[in-house]
Order: sequence, then C-alpha cells, then structure tokens
Amino acid sequence: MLNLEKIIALIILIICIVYAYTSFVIMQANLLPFELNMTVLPNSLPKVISIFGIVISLFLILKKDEDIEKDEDQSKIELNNVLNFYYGKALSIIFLMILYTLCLRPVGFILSSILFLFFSSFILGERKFIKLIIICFIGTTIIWLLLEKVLGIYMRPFPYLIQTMVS
Amino acid sequence: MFFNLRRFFLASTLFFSLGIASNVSAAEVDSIHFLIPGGAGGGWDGTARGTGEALTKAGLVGSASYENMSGGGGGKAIGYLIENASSNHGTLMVNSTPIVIRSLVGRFPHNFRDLTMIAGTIGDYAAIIAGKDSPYNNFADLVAAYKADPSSVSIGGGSVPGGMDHLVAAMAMEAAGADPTKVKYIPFDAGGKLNAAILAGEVSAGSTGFSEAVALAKAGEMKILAVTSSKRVPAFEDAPTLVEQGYDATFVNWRGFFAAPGLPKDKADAYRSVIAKMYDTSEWEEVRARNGWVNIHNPGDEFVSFLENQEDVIKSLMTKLGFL
Amino acid sequence: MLEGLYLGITAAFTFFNLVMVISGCIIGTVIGMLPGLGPMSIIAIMIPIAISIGDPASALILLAGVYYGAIFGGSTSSILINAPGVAGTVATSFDGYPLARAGKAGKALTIAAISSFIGGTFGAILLFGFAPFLSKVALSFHSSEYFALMVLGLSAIAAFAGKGQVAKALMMAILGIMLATVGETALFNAPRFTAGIMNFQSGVGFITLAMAMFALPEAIYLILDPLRSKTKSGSKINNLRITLKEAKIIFPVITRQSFQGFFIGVLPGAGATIASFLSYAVERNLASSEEQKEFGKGSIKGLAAPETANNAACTGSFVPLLTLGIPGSGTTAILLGALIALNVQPGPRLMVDNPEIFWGVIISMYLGNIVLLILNLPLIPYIAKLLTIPRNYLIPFILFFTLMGSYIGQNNETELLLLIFLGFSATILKFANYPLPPLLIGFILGSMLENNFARAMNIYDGFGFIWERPMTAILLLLSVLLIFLPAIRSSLALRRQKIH
Repeated sequence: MLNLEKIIALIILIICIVYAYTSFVIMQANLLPFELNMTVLPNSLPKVISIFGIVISLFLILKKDEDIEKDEDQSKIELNNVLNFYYGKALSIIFLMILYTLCLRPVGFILSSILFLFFSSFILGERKFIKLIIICFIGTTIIWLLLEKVLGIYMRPFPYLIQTMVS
Repeated sequence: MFFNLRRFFLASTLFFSLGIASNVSAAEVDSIHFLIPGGAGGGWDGTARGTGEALTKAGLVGSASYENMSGGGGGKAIGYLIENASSNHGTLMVNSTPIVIRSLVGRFPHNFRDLTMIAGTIGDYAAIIAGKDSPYNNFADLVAAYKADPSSVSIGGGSVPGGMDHLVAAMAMEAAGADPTKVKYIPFDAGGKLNAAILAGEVSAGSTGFSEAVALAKAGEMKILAVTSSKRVPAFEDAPTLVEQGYDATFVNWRGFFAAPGLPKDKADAYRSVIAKMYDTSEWEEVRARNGWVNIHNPGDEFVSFLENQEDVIKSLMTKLGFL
Repeated sequence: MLEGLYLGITAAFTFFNLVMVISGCIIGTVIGMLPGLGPMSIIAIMIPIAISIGDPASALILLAGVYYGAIFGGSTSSILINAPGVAGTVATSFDGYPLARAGKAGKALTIAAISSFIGGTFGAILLFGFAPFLSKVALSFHSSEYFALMVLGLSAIAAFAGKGQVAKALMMAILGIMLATVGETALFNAPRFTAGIMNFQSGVGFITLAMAMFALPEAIYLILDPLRSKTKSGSKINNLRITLKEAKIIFPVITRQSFQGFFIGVLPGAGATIASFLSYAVERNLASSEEQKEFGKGSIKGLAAPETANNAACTGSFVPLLTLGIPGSGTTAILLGALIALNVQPGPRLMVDNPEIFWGVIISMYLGNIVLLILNLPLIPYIAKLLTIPRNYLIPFILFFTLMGSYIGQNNETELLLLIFLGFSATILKFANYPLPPLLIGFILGSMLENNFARAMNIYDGFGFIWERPMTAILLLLSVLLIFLPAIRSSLALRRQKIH
C-alpha cells in the first residue's frame, strides 16, 4: 500500500497547486478596490495554507519509506486481509447510493428508500426476501412518519407523477 | 444568510409541526405549497410557516405544505421554480432583501423580475447601535468622529462586507455627507455575536436589525443611535430615526412571496387577495406578535416598484463602494 | 441566593414538571440518535409543544430535558456508528468509536453518560453561583482572544500525529482548512473556490463532511471486510462496569473539564464544539506519554474529556443567554426565541423581574441531568446491543441514516452526491493510513480561526492586538506552552536519565 500513499500525496499536491494558483493569481486579480485596504484579504489565509500544503505533500512524496511502527490500532486497516476484500460489493453499494440520491425526488422518499434498503441488503447477501421487505417497509415508514407527521419535515413521499395527480 | 439570526430562530421554530392543516371548505384558495430556499430552522422557514399557519387557521387557505430546498444561498430554489414553472402554479416561494443584493452581485443568474411578484408581507428596519458606555449618544456624534478620522470608528455588523448591514452603515454615512467608502466595517457571524462585541466594546458602533437591538436597548445595555424607518417604531419609541435627525436615509429589510413565472393573473390575484385579507385576522396578529414582525404590506404592483426602487438605491451604493 | 434555590426547587419539583423532564429526556435521546437532528433542530421542533403548555417554567423544564437528551443521543450515534451528528460530539467519536469496535460499547456509553452527568451537574452549580460574575468575564473576550483559543484547539490534531504520521496529520488538517474556505464566509463579500458552481456557494455542510469522513468510510469498510464486522468478544458489549482503576483515571479529567468546559461555554463566541476540542487537546497534552499513545485509539480519558466538556459548555452557554440576553449558539438562540414567545425577556432584568424562571431553569437543568442518567443507565445494554444486529440489516440502515443526516430538512441532492464523493475519497485516504479526524478538526476550527484572526487584524490594523491586549498574549503563550508540553516533558525526562 505504500504506492497508494504516494499516489494520494501526488493528488493532494495537484489539488494544492490548483488551490495556490487560484489564491495567488485569480483571487488576487479579482480583489475589490475596497478590499485592498483591508489587513486580511480573502486570499491571505488560502495563500499561507497552500504553501504549507505544497511543502508537506512534496515531503510525503519524496520521503523514504520507513517501517511504520506496527501497532494494534483498531482504526488502521489490516493489510494482510486486503486481497480478500469485497471490492465489488462496496462499489455496487456506492453506485446504489448514487442511484438512490438521484431517485429521491422523482421517485419519492418512501419507495426509493425501501428499494435502497432492499437492494443494499441483497448485495450484502441477504436472501430471506419476505422478512427483508417487511423490515425495509417498516423502517422506512417509521422514519417517514416521524419526520413528516411528528416533526413536520417535508420530503416528497410519492413518485412525481402520483404527486401531481393528487394535487 | 446570517443576519437577524435571533429573529430568524424565533420565527422559525414556532411552526414546525403545522404542516397538516385542517381543511376549511370556505377557503378562497384550496392549498398553497410553500417553497423555502433555505434549511429548516432559518428565517425564511419561519416566515413561510408562520404565514401558512395564519392563512390556514383563519380559513383563507384550505391547506398548506412546506418544502425546504437549500443550496446556493437560495439560488437553487429560484432556479427550480423558474425551470419547473408550469407545474408549480400552486407554489409560493418566500424571499427577502438578499434576493436583490445577491442577484446584483451575480451570485445567481436570475433576479426578482424573472418571478411573479406576489406581495411583500413583513419587514424589519435597520438600526445603528452603540454600547451603553460609548461616547456616542446620537448619530451626529458618530458622524463627527467618523469625519474626523474614519479609521478610528469601527462599525460591526452581522452580514458580509457588501451585505445588508454594511450597506446600511454606508448609506447612513453618505446621507450625512461623509465618504461611505471609508467605513471600517467589521463583519461578525451573526447578530447575536455582534451584540456581544458591542457590549464588550470591541467595536465602536454596530449596524444591525432593529428587532435584534430592541431588547438590549430596553434593558439599557446599549443605545440605538438611529433607526432607518421614516417614523419612530411603536415597539421602542425612544429610538430616533435617521430622518428626524436630519439624515435622509430609510431602509427596510422586507420579506415577501414570489410565484413561478407566467402564473395566470387570476391565480396571482387570488394569492394577493388572501394575503391582504390575512392582515385583519386575529390569527395573523397572534403569529406576528409572537415573532415581533412589523407589517409592511406591498401588494402586487407596489411590490414591483418597491423592489425596483430598492434595487436602484442598492445598486448605486454598491457601485460607489466598489462592489459592482 | 438561598431564596433563589427555594424558588427554583418549588418551581421544578411538581408532578407535572417531573413528567415534563422525563418525557423531554426520552424524546431528546431517541431523536438525537438520528444524525442530522442535533439539539438545535430537536428543540426547534419541540417549541410549539412547549409553548402550548403556557407556563414558562414547565416549558423550559421540558426543553432542558430535550436538550440534554439530544446531546446524549448524539454521543450515542458517535460512539456506536461513528456518526457525529453535531459538531460538539465529533471529539467523542475519536475515542468512543474505537472503544465500541473493541467490544466495549457498553463501557464507552456508560463513561459518556457519567461524564456528561458530572459535567452538566457541575455546570449547573457554577451557573447557580457565578452567572452574573462570569458574564462580565465573558465580555472581556474579544476576537483576538478567540483566535488564541482556536490555536490551542487546533493542537488536538497532535493526537493523530503518531510515529511516522506527523506529516500526514498536518496534511489532512490543511485539506480540512482548504475545504472550509470553499463558499461564503461571514468575512468576505464574494464566495471563494466555488469554481463557478452555484451549489458550492454555501460551502460544504458540517454534517455532510462529518458523515463523509467518519460514518461512511466505516460503513464501507464493514462491507469490504466481513471480519471487521465481527465485533470482538461480543459477550462484553453490554457490560457497563467501570473498574475502580478506570474511575481513578478519569476522575481528574472530569473535574478539570467540568470547569474548563463550562468557562468556554460561557464565552458567546466559543461554545460546546470548541470546548470539546480544547478539552481533548488539553487532556492529551497533560497525559503521560504512555497514555498519550492511547488517544485516538480508545482512550477512556479521551472519551471522558470531550463528553464532560461539551455538557458543561452547554450549561455554560446559558450564562450569556440568561444574564445578557445574548445567544452564544444556535441552540440558545432558539431557546431565546422560546422565552420571548412565553413573554419572558432574558437579560439583566430577568433575575429581578422573574426570579422563579431564572432559578427554575437552573434547577431544571440539574434535574434533567439526574433524570437522564437514571433513565439511560438501565437502557445502555440494550442500546449497545444495536451493534449485534446482523450486518445484512445493520449496514443498510447505517448507510440510510448517514445519507439522511445531510438530507433531512435541506432536500438538496447535490449535498448528498458530495457526501458520497467525499466519503469515497475518505475511504481511499483511510486505506493509505491517512488519519481523518484532523481533516474535520481543521475544517471546524479553520474557519473560526480565520474569522477571529481577520477581525482582530482589521480592528487593530495589524498584529497590534498581541501586545495591546495582555489577555491575548497570555492565552497565546499558554497555547504554545501546552502544545510543546509533551516535547518539553520528554526532553526533561531524557536529561534526568542521562544524569543518573
């Protein structure tokens, strides 16, 4: 994973350079006349941190790989397991989340949430469909009732077409 | 959207669970869907829910629903209303003074002319304030100190430079014959933080919403040097206006309602008519009093000319200050 | 003052008011567990109900219950699923979540409940005794002092800069500050770094970033690695017991942070978030080098400190609200609205005009804390058991709540897409062992640092505030000292070793 570390540092370096260019050149040119009298300008802090950012990301790219102290840190990833990770499942669920987001307004909160919960559970390997559908339905309905009826927080509940027909 | 935080919350919070309103058969308008361009709990949210509550309880409107749509400082909801105009004839969007300022500086591509202007309903005046131990007792004192050395007078506010509070301070200085571009404006995150800084003596004076200053002024903790209304405000008669002190400047931070472009005239008139009738109901009076709002009713064409006038004033001031 | 105590007690201890405080605590805890619904929104939601009660004292007692319940509920989601729904509980998840992962969810929740209880109770006592005096002290804080406090708060990053990680932790903090500069700030007219995209004008929402950095990568890891979801020693998960030794370790932390947290809360420009980060930074730097290694990996000190401090700070924020009528946070701004709607005007006259309300609020806070502890301790085993729900059901619901956290009440899909994108990036960062908490610390404190620094610079036309305001100088010096304390201590130890 050491290569990944360097690749990330490189990406961050690129971000920092774009950020630095924006703050040193573009923002400087767009300063309003009255802002020039101010002690701290909109691009003052960005300039400083972009320099820090470039220096540190360069350091991360160029530094020699050293054996990082092995500890029993829970938050770190157990590397020996990496090859057996379920990448396909994770990616499909991320894709599902994007789909869910795009469906929330046109399909409505209730139906899209039930489908989201159902399919993500399905991807994870759940096959007891009846139980699953019941749980998804109950879970979604409780949340929706809580938000809409108790707390008064509006979300489009039904598909767009039905909604317009009702109203 | 940081100005008037206190009033915003005050307003907003009261009406969360009022989405389901009873159906009254005699209603003039069956239902209104309020589109709120900010999150739940903001000032727009409170205005929409408060108005909806009064309208439905008074039986003028059958039912009301509320949809928050935040993003782009309100720009997203405006865009949505314009793009989906034909399916949104039942929608009213709440908005306020910043729609004028923000479209002037190009934060979003549309401006209020792209929408159907229904009515301005409530508002707040601006106030110039100072701490109780401050050497300034009226606006003339402040102007004198400012004219002597602009950099010695720091004026705090609850909005960004070029935002409402800054513009009011500059407008008042301009009316006093001083150079508005030299105002040393110190922005704070919200009206409450500004009040703390005034009491702490961190800034010499402040520019804020009148309603936010009233309580502390009544308690004798701060002085209101001037208010931007044309006559003294009943909520606190002791506060002198700019006009009576000889400075010709007035300013209203309004809130009002807009509808989708191309809305049929009869529908627009129906909305205007229920809003006009609302002012006479006890239900509205209750909501208004609870929130400390000031009735500033600008129906239809008056609203259009009011907005155009405000846009002119702000535009020339912002040009002078270098924002445009 | 004794008269006040009497007034407060008679106001709070009626059957009706006890029912109010209990229902408030339950409602607050349950709703507070949903990320995205923090104390502020829950109190906002409860206000119409509170106002319909009519009696200001009862209404406030209900709201105080909701307030404390919501904070506790928020800590629960931070600890169990790494989803801090409010900025004040971000620091809680630093050590709370690792503890839960190690199978000590019950213990972590108990420590959180007890620390909150003590912090809140201490706060109520301090509020009772010193409110008018403290409000004067609070007003002596200007932007320059706040700036010094933010510097101190940023040193919490050090907890994530272990061996070989210093540069990475700094890198993440800088990325966090960069993210904070996107969009509009109170300081400048034009929004920055929006690339012309309208949706970026409002910047990245706190909840979106918190979910993207903490909850979402964790959930994705649970999917990637099935072994990870098998919580170690599952039988201990609902074990609440804290040993005497552990109690001795956290006792000084809780005591210190009750005071410190309360004072930070009193400052109108600081509040619970700053209080929790400061407490984390201070306690880590005071801890021995052995204990320091534990921070960020499941240190009970690191859990107790922010939990105590954020509760004490919440109580502290009532000082400027009640004595000056100035709300220091969004939550107190809403409470101010509620008070006014009930025809009570907080401010210097409140103690004179409505003493029963002033003291009633204080007593009700005290009561709220006790009730919350009594209610929650027996429930903790069941709450902790939530983690034992089969992963096929648990993970989808975690994802669902994570997404809802930034969607509820906003209805902004762009924010959700941003959340998914940032969450995906955070997962990759995590893969390469880049620590994510510093990014969130940088994000939250970075903008406050810039705001206060710029204000001070603009008022003084330069760095003048450092020598013109002795308090700023002292605080800055103190911050630097605290930041270098661990280094100083270890070099002293080294020298002592050489002498012997």
